[in-house]
Amino acid sequence: MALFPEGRFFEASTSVIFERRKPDMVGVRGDRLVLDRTLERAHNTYKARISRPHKGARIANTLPVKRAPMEQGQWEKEPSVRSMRRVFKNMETLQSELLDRLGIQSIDRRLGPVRKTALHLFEQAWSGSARRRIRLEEKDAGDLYVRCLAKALQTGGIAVPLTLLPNNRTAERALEEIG
Amino acid sequence: MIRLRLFGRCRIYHDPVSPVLRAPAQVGWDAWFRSIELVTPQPLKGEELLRRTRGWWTVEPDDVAEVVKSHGRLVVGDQGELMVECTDDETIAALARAFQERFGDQVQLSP
Repeated sequence: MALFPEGRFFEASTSVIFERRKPDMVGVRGDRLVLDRTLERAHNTYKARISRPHKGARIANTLPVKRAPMEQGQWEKEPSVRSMRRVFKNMETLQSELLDRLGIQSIDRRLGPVRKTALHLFEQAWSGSARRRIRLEEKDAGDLYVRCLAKALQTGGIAVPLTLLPNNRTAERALEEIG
Repeated sequence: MIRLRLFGRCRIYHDPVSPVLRAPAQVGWDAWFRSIELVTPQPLKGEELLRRTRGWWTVEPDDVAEVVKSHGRLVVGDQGELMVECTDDETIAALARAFQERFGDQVQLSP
């Protein structure tokens, strides 16, 4: 499998092309291509459905790679997947606790725009924290998200007492920095 | 009529995810004796969009469709969201209970 400059991969053995979706989803270790598992899964799906020769592709130095599709149980063995599951679980738990304490049902129609705003704030704060030298770790994600959710709720006219928010100075700073 | 989005759990990360039809399918034609340039955009119906979650959600979409049909109907929202349409709040609450009984926390309704 070879990496082409335009961000495409070509597998000589099956004549399959698929596009790299995000730059961080792939890495090269020595002469081997290391795929993020999500991308690998997408690749296997494409492999089954598409067979399209790539005109002009240079295949002399490519290594055919055969990979079996990931089974359900195998995802649990991936450290990155386990880590993300913990992060999302924590975010969901803290979100549910906050909404319960505020007496807001999960099907409350006000939550649609509130969730969008909260996600936007969370992504801004998380990506901006590295630039501002604020070190956020796995355990901070849930606390930061709940603070973003609280801010979004307040923007939507729902008061959130400060006492309901987790005491996490790092998460607080990360959100303060984006204003 | 009340519409809420339908979320299932991602098979990999286990967080709630919902499919969105960003653009209609582009259907073209091949023929034995002629070339056909025509490409027709085909929007998906609610149940068709739900079926596309097979392998991405932790639950089987046909089972979800079966539960939805007994309380309301599957539709695609204005922005391509997969949604459930019910007549009133009571029906929505009954559907949420049915999801809980059949799938636990694997399928959820949300605005």
